[in-house]
This record gives sequence, structure tokens and C-alpha cells, in this order.
Amino acid sequence: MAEAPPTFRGWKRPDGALGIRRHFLVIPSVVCAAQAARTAAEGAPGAVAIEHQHGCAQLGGDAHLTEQVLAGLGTHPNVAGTLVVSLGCETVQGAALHRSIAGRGQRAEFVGIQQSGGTIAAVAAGRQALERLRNGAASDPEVALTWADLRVGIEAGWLGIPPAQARVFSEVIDRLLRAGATVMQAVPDGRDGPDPRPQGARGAAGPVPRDAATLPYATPPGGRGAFRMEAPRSRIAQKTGLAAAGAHVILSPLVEGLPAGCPVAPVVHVGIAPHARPFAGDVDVMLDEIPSAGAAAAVVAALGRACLEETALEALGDFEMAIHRIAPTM
Amino acid sequence: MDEILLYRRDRGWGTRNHVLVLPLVASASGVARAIARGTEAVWVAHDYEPTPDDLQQNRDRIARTLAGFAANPNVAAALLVADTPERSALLDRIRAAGQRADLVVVTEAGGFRAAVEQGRGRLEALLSGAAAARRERAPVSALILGTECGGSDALSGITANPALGAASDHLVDAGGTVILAETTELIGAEHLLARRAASPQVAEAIYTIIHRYEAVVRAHGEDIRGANPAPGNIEGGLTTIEEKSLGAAKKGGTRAIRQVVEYAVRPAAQGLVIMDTPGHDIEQMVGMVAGGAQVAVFTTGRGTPTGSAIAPVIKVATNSHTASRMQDNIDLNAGLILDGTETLESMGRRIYEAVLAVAQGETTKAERLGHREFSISRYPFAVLDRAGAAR
Repeated sequence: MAEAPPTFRGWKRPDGALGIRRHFLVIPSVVCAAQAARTAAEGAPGAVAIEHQHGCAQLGGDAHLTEQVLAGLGTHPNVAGTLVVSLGCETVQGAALHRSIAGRGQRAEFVGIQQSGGTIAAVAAGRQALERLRNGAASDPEVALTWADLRVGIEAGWLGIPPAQARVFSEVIDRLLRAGATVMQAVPDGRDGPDPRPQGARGAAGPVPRDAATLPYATPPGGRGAFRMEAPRSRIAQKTGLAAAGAHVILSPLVEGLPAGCPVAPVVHVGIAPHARPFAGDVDVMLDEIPSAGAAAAVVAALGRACLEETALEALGDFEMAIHRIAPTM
Repeated sequence: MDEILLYRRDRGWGTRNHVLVLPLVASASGVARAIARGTEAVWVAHDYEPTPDDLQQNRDRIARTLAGFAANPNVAAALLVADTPERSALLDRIRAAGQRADLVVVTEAGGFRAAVEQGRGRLEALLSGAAAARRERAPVSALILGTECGGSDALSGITANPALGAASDHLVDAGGTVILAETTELIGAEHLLARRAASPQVAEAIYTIIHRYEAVVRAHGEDIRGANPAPGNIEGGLTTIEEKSLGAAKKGGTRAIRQVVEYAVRPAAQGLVIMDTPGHDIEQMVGMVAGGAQVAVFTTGRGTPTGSAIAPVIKVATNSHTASRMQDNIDLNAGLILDGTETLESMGRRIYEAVLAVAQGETTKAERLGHREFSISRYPFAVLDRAGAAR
């Protein structure tokens, strides 16, 4: 099977970020603003509203991490412009979030519900802001990207992928690194998984070298190459963290649970047999118990396709969001 | 006895006749949404994904929340959406509570599209069953009122909260139930509440839930003032958590406190009860509704839009400025007390009458705007264990 296409269609933002999508992201700074954010995005071309349950009643360090995740998503290279919708009285202040996103060079707009005078007024202001973002992004030049321009996030499969299938992921990572891509692998709680089997046969999909630098959750890598990223067990929170760290595309080994998308980065689901066989139609690649010789190339090709075209989940508008929390809600 | 028109259910009386589509895990949210889209059904989404690290106590809390929400009397029938068949225990639990319910398991159905198709069929059956329901005469005492404040300001404790307290007293006197919650916003008022406890055990329980939260904050080495009062509270003139709490506690009125219940637990006693919830507006609302509240009153100084997919939420502003500025979201204006055109008593009566009208079908602003915020609340049991705090 042929390797992935060498170039991908992308866009260059004024701040230099290179993306494979041109989303207009609508971020509620707090759960209370989610409905207004969603309504503002409805019918607006290219607009994606995220939903989350956080932003208030959070303690210091935990509130800071939520803000960092939201800012990471707002400045993601696949996002051509970001609208922050704030209530006004929340702990993660929308105005500060907007400043932090705009301060990092991203095209950004702000709407406050209390400031606007209620939901209906805020939605109207939000729609106008989205139009300004779209107009601004229209002049972003189209560019040809290679793997060397892209970051691939890899979610951990914690329940343990059998060795034959895990080896496929090792090969996928090797191929991506050889092609110049930056690879970030989520590593739950500093462990490769609770699976006691010997290293190499462990659960976390194909090991990024253990000596690779470890990034804190939702933190972009400082350079290229292979990285590990601290992450919680929740696969959705892993995806959110990888995206907040700038992953252009995310690889999800599905050894349990269901596919779940991500608001800013396409997700390629690799179904691990036998778990994923009953819903094989929902995954991009099925890995049989005895993977075929071309399995790794097929996974890399699927990643390449996801960079080029909308995935099935993206077409359904189906994505989930979970932010890792380090302290309880107050 | 005062009578109102409600929906009769096996497990109480409902103020609404919703059919709910409820994902049991976050990754089933997309299927749930696709099933409900374009139908009369309501749906919610959340970010809870079970992991092997979850403490059993939190699994129990989450299962209780999901089951209680689906079995709230405002829900005529519930369609659960699960990833794997192991979660069907929750279906049994909800049915055992007397709720009409069905389940779609995405992996069993054969993936997203097949699950949506199967779910549509099951939802149609639930919807047509619900369509036959009619309101009947019911006692006012059947109501469980959830009280909440959010985006509080310096007037919350002077206008809207004591006015809501007067309404709470009316409902308690009529034999109904009122839930006072948001434990983090009762910190500093616990001695006043304990004095009104119906028994020494209830008084002790009030101190316990407060001390638990204080221990959690200490164990994190944080200052609760980082989260509470929130920036908007401070801008609104509140200076300390104690000041906020003294105002917040007034929502429950002045009657004896009959019981302290855990999060999302249905009160066994009628009258005024306290539920141990976080101050987080959505987690609190979900907890009260999962505990059986069929209607809620939410006071706000700064103005806040949130609601519930299955329970009407009446918004009461603490001041006329917010009431007029946020008129998209505010149902009643307790600022009129300060303006001199209403008294605490007359405003309390108006809130009580609004509760009865809304219970009988009048829609609130949050309902009209389609609000359906939902959040899964976890409790820091592990932190408490480490802190060795009283449980």
C-alpha cells in the first residue's frame, strides 16, 4: 500500500500558524455561556461551538488549567478565528481568555452576555463577530503542507492492546517520525497503562520512546520530534489535551468504548478487533487480531486522508469535549 | 387543601411532560443528540466517561444522578443511550423507580447510524405514550422546589433571596418541600442554619457537610476565595464568602430544617431540606432535579441565563438594572423591593404564585430559549480520605 500523500492542503494564518482546517471556534468561557455560544454558531459557515461544563466554582490552579485548555483550543492552528462568549461573572473570565488568545496572535472576538444585555443580544453580536472573523480569514493564503509541518496526537488505549496490534502503532509512529511529523502521545498518569505485561506489549498504543520529553497536559511542544504528554484516563479529555497542545490530527486506538471526535482536530479511529468489529462502519481502519502486513501503512494513509478531507465524524458534527480537572468543583 | 394541575406519575407529580434522551457516557452524547434532533424530545450532553480509576463512591453518585434525573416526575419517559450492554443496570434501576424507559446500546446496534435508527424507533414509542398524558388535580404539597442563586451581588441577600425565602415559607406551610443547596455558599452561615435544625442529628449533618468542603479546600492548599466569591460577585459588591453565604442561606426561608440529604438524593421529609451540592450552578441544579425537584427558582444579581432540560427554572433579579438589562433571561424583578414598589412579603407572594403558575404549564424564559445545561458532579472522596476529614 502506498504511503500517505506527501502534501496536504493548508492555510497560513497571519501569526504563521499552519492549519489543515479553517474552523471558526466559538468558546464559552463558562458553562453558563454554552447555549448562547451554540446558538451564535448555528448556521454560521465554518463555525464550531464547543460545549463544556466548567469555568466557574473552580479553585485557583484548576481554573488556570481550564483557561489554558480553552486558550490552547482557541489558538489551535486549525482554527482561523475564535469568538469567546462570556457570561461576565465567571471564574475563568472571558475577557481575560480573549486577551490571552488575541495576545498569541490569533484573530479573536469577544461577546459578553451580561455586557450585551442577555442571550438574544449576545447571540446577535456573536453572529456579527463571526462574520468579521470569516472576512478576516478570507485572505489567509492557501499553502501546501507536509508531515513536517504537522503534529499528530496519539491517544492512549489504557485497557491494553494485544502485542501484535500494539506493534502496528509502533510502526505508525516510526513512519510518522521518519516523515518529519511531530508526534505527541498521551500517557495517563505517567503510566503506559495498568496492564502488567512486559514493555512493548503494553496497553498504551505504540510507545513513543520513554526518553522522549514529557509535556504537561495541554502544553504545546517546544520543538519537533517525539513527545509524551501527561494525561488523565478519560479518552475524551486526552483528545482535548492533545488538541490544546496543537495536534493537527489525532489517532485514537479504539480498544474499548465508542468513537468520539474533537472540535478542532480530525480524529482517526483505529478499531481494535474484536472490540470494534460490531461497529466497524464507524472506524477508519480496522486492525484484525493478526494485523495484515500493510496495517501500519493503512493507518498512516488514513491519517493523511483525514488531513485532506472531512472525516465521517466531522461530517456528522459529532464531537465531544472534556477538560481534565485537577481539583473538585466548589 | 390548595390544588394545582400536574401530571400524575408513579413516583410523584410532574410539572412537565418531557421525554428525555440521556447519554450514559460522554461518547454516546452524539448518538443521543442525533436521536433527539427534530423530535419533541429533550436531550442533554455531558463529559463523563467512566475510567478504571473512578472511585466506587463516585460511580454510585453518578449512577444516582443519572437515574434520578431520568426518573424525575417531569419526565414521562426516558431513552438511555449507552456504549456497551454492561450499563443496562441503570435501565433496570430507572424502571424499578416506576419510570417508562428504554435503552439503545451503540455497540450492540452496530454503530452510530444503526443506533440512531434503532433509537428513533424506540423514541417514537415513548413519545406516543407520553402524548396521552393530561394534567390532573394535585395537591400543592406534591411540589419539590429547588432554590438557587448565581451571579450574586450585594443585593442578593437583601432583595431576591429573602423574597424567595418568603415564597419558600409559603410552600412549606402548604405542605410542600423546599431544597436549599450549594453547600460552599452556606459556609459561614452554618451556625444559623444548625439552630433551625429539626433535630440534633440534622444540626450535626449541617456542620458535617460544611466541614467536608472546608477540608477539601485546605487539602488542595487553596483558598476558597479563589473560586468564591467569583469575580462577578466581587464586582457586584460582595466582599467575602461569609457575606455571600449569609445572603444565600435566606433562599430557604425561616422554617425548621427537616433533613440533610446527599447530592441527588430525593428528600424523605417534607418541608425545608438541605442538599449537599457544590455551588457550581449547573451541578447544583442537576443535583436538585435528580433529587426530585420539579420546579426551581434561581435568583441572580449579575444575570444568568441557565436552565434545565426537564425542569422549569424561574429567574429572579436582585435589582431593576439587571432585570431590564437582561430581560431576555429574567422572569421576575425583586429589585422592585428596593425601588419601593414591592415589599419582601408581596414579592415573596409573587414568587410563590409564579411557582404555582409555572408548575401548571406557564413557560419560563430559560425554557423558551431552550436551555438544557447539564453536568456530572463528582465528589472529592479520595481527598477527604487523605485529609482524614469527618464523613
